[in-house]
Amino acid sequence: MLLELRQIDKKFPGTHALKAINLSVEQGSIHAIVGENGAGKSTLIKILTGVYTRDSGEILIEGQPAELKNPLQAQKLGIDAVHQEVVVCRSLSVAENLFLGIEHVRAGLVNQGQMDREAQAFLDDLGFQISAKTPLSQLSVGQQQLVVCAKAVLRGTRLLILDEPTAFLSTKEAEQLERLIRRLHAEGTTFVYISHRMEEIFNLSDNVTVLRDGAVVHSGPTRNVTREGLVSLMAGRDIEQFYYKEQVPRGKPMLNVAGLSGAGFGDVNFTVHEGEILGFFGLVGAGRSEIMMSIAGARTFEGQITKSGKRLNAENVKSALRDGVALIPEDRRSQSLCLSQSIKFNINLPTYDRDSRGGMVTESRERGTARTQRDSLKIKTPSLDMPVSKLSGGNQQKVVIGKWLNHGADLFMFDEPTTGVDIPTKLEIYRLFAELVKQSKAILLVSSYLPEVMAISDRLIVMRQGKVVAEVDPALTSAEEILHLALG
Amino acid sequence: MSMNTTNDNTLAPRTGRINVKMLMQLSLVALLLVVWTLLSFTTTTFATSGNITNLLRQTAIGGVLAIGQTFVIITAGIDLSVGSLVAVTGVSLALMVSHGVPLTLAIVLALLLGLAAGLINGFAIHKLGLPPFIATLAMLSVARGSALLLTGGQSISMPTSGFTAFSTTSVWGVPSLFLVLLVVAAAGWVLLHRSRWGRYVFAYGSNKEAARLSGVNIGGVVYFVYGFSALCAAIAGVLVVSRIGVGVPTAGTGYELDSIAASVIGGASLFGGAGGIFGTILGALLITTISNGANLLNVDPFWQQIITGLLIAVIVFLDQLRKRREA
Repeated sequence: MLLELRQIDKKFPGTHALKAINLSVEQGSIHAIVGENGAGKSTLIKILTGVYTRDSGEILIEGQPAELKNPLQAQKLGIDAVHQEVVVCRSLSVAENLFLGIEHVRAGLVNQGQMDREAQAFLDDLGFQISAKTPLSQLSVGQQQLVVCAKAVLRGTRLLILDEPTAFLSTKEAEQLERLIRRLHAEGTTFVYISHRMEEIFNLSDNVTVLRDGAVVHSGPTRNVTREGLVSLMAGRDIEQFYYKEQVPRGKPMLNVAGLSGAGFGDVNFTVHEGEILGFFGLVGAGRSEIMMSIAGARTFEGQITKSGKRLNAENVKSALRDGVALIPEDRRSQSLCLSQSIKFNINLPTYDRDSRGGMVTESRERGTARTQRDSLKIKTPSLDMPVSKLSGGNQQKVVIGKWLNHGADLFMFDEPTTGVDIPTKLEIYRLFAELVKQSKAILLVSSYLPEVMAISDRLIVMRQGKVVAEVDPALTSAEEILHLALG
Repeated sequence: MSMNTTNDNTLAPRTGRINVKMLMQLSLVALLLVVWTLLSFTTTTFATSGNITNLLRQTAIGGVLAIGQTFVIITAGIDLSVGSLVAVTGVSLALMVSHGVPLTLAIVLALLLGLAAGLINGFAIHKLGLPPFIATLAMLSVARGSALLLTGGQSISMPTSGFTAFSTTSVWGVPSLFLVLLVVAAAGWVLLHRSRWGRYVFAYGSNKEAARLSGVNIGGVVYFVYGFSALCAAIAGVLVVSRIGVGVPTAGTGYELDSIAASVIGGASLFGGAGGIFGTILGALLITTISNGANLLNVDPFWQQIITGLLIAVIVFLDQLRKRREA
């Protein structure tokens, strides 16, 4: 037994985060941990990596009691974590990142040449096609994530904790990561793998532990449990489906895109109708986000975009908004929300011009608007004045949607809307999609999660390297076919 | 796993009306009252009407500057040019009047001059992409040089005695200069906290890209805050001339630092997205109180700078502690 947690308890003001957790991770196993957001997974990881200290209970590593007072101690004991959001020094090169803190130093001077060579040999050995001298900022998110893993391996990590590592990766990058995991697994590394993706859990893990509300509700071999069983355990109630989809009759064409070209995409044509969900699938870099940004008026483009008969202009966000276009971007934190400002503020931001009189904001109206959206979207918060930074990922997403609903948009472009969101909230978001299309709105859904985009979309556009490769009916096409189209 | 989120089961503290910003301001008020009380007991001169009037007059100029600076700091920017703008608008006013321009017109033109400088700052920052520090630093030099050039390095007298008398008058016991501050503060408060442009200023400072994608006119915000800050500097410039009766090309040296200090003590964050008018006024009062009190206590004036510097560090540090504990 590599790692044993006995009766680990942790309380925060107002919440009992971990309730006498018992967990055993076998040497050389891949141990999955599942649970909704708020179940205690991130607290558990932070205790394992020394970021938090436990209130009570014991941690045993190879049978020896261990004190994990800080991350450095945890690393010395061979425990390290790879997080959902990549933690690297963007302006440094791959080699510099890999050797950060353990540089080769001769007579006080850093021996960069040797480190570059060693780093390259290491990367090649792992099968990554990355040059050691590349600055991290030039790599894709997926490649950056691989570098983070490589860094942990370089430091001789025995227990590698992966926290939703594929959340921001394309299918191809996720496969690369999976290969790396399998290889390290074969070489004896133990993994704790946190994921919301059932496919990954059943594909990779030997054992699975389910956390719910801070307590372990199940722990055992993965082969002894089913998907439905796991989801039930996580939620504490039976969830019939993973996805929610209502068939809604298609209305007249709302958006027509012809010959659209810009940075990252070319010659794109498609139409979306009222009441329709048009999915966009492709690898990272296929150009989908760029297309959405262009429609939203945030980028230049050539070609024609017509909405309800009216031409949309390039590089004019305000006019796109006026024409009823709403973009919910990929990185909601950095692109969509003013995190330090309140929920009320964020919901009202696009409509201050419409709702103010003589430039003055009416506080009661501001509050009323926010209340309406909070109630209809069931945003969980004790106060509308709370800064959105304090909300969970799922509720942050709802604030973004609420702001656009209030604005009166009728074309909603969602770019990876359920990344980092737990299953019950995902379902709520799918239900919201259904509500929107029942009201004759149209949705463009960019998603790199194939099961999701296949289940939710009415039609699916597959893109590769900036070009539309195919338009398919997801009900009549297999996942393998679509993947083939996306990979080329 | 995101760094800044809470799980849905957490009972987050009820924020509502009594919030931490108010707490910070209340503690500033308390600090001011404590200092004033102390000074009343340790000197015979602090609590006199003459001295209080003086205190309020001195705060007026720094306060007006700080109000403009607050707008800029909320956008995560900075305006280093305000001190020099005080000088160049002041000497322009004095020069115009001594060449026969009617006083009212001269004042308006001086204000427009300041505004123009602010719009140039805005242009440099928004269109040319210069960091605010650099753009306003350049303007600091250009404006100072212009003031010296226009005057040949000399002071220019203001012939109009009524104008200088303004600075010594009071309305219902409150010095006119301070009333000007109150008017500017009221206007600033309405703009910042009640108008939609104020909301846009906070949005810009909190997340420029999110603001842009929500339809906020990003360029508009930049021109607005730097224009307003420069206009405040021009108002301060006019007030300075009224107070000393001369247009001095070296006036306002170092005022920009005090305006930044007052804003930050008042709760503005240099990272953007936070700040307020009331807090800024308190900050300005505190800074003036220190210099006033130090004079009365015969403290070496050089100590005043040290005290002010330490005060800024301590107050902002305590504010950071509070924010961290709350997070």
